[in-house]
Amino acid sequence: MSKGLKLASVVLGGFLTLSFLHVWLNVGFENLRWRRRAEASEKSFRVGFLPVT
Amino acid sequence: MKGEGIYEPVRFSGFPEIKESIVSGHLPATFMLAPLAMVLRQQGVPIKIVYLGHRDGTAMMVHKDSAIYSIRDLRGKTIAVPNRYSNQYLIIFKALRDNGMSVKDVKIVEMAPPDMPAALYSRSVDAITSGEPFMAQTQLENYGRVLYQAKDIWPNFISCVLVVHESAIKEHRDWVQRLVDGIASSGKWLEGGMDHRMMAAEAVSKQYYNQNPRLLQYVLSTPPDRITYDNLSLARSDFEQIEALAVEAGILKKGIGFDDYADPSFSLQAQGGKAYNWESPK
Amino acid sequence: MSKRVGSVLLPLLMAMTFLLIWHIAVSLSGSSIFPKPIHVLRGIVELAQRGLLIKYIVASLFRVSAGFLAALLVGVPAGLLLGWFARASDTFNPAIQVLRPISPIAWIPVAILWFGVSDLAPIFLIFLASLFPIMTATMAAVQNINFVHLRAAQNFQLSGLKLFTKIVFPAALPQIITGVRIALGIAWLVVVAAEMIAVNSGLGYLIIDSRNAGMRYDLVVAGMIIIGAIGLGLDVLVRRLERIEEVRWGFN
Repeated sequence: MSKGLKLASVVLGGFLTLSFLHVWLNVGFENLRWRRRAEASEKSFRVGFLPVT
Repeated sequence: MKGEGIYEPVRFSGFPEIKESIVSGHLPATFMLAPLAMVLRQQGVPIKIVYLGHRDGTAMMVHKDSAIYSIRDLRGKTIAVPNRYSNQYLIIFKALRDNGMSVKDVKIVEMAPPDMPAALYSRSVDAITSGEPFMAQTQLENYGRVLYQAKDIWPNFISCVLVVHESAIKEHRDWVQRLVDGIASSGKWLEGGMDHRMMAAEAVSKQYYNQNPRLLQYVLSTPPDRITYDNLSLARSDFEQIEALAVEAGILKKGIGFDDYADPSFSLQAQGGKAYNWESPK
Repeated sequence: MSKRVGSVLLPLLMAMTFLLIWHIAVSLSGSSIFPKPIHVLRGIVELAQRGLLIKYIVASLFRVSAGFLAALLVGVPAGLLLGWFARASDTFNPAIQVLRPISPIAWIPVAILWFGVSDLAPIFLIFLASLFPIMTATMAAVQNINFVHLRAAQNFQLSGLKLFTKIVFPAALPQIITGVRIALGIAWLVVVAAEMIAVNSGLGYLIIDSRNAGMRYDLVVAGMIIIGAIGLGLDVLVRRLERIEEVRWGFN
């Protein structure tokens, strides 16, 4: 395997791991967009606010 | 917004980001400055004001060592407001006008409310005005002094309103109604006793505001009517008062009325509700 | 051996001196707002205890990686093409030079309007910030290839795709990697601005939210330090890469 290909697969692998970690820790698997699409607008109503009166 | 499951509060750090999110349709509802909502409506954004969040709760603070003790002393001084399309700005306009002055006699700068305490501390501005808890923060930390409470110049002062995108009203009318009902009953509960307010401060500070609970408790209690949560329904006269001032101050153009930017149907229906029975989640 | 020790010891000494000066400066100024080094350290520990340290680092790294990799995938091929075909470069270059100086912060409204309140908006901003440095470095790298090498290659009957992969790309690579390193630095720089858009995790978010949350400037500085440390780490990683490539081409 050429050096370039090796590098590319390391980077890709690293990124996929990072993405998995991010979804696991921060987003939550249930909240992923493609899962959410069907239920999304039925299940959540977002209300914005600024923490000031 | 208390425990209704489907409602997802989204905390922002500035009004411009809120504005973009609702204009782009990515956010169905948000709290926002009342004059800003009117201006956006006038510019063609399909939103409607449906309810209030609270009344009063705005003050103007000066540095405790400054020589500013009255509106007249503001001549030539620098005042920070959250946004030009705010009632905080309009109240300055009104106060100056009632004292024979104009906004040309002062220097107005726009500043995000969280930055205001530090700006006053370092005296890079002479006066700051926005909603709580940033005003009280300067008091608690001993460098700020109240010049005026909004309610003393403009009784039943309105700062922020609940704004809903028309598409959300069309498609999820019942949710909007439930949201309004929820705010109404929470409001009644908050007005039902100081212990309720303290409990709320404790919970809200950690979960939603990311502020020190003691600060919110101070804000909700000193004085007890610093912020009021009842009487949140839309009244035409309140808004026409804002409209008139806004047109006079030049931030709103004539030609838009209560029926364009507001939808009081939700607040009328919420009026019969009871106080929420809420227990602090331990 | 002493060189190794020196390259670690001296920076360490420098850092400690800096911390000392910081501590003294804050004490002397009597400021009740600016945190001392010990406060910042406690802040970092607090973040770790609340489980936020890992979460926020992962979030910011994810967004930067996503935006940066996307910029690589778009910028390097685009730069290669534009660098090689003079006419294409003449056509597109003005547009690029106009868009390039626009700060990512100015793109925030556009990002919100297009991507709303989600991870995509910061990723888009980081993508934009990285794209232009990568593209222009790649373009310059291709345009700077020594004519002699090209002539020699053409003499060997190399043309088309083979010319490209065997000669052009490797020759341009060192300069491309330098551009990539600079772009990565910029991408990581922009993370604070990018996370101003109502995301609820990340180091940039930590800084903005701590500033809004009253007096948590210890967390603000903690965030700054962590960002700086990770930025340094990323830079070291890419420099390693640079060294490999240079050695390779050098031997050719």
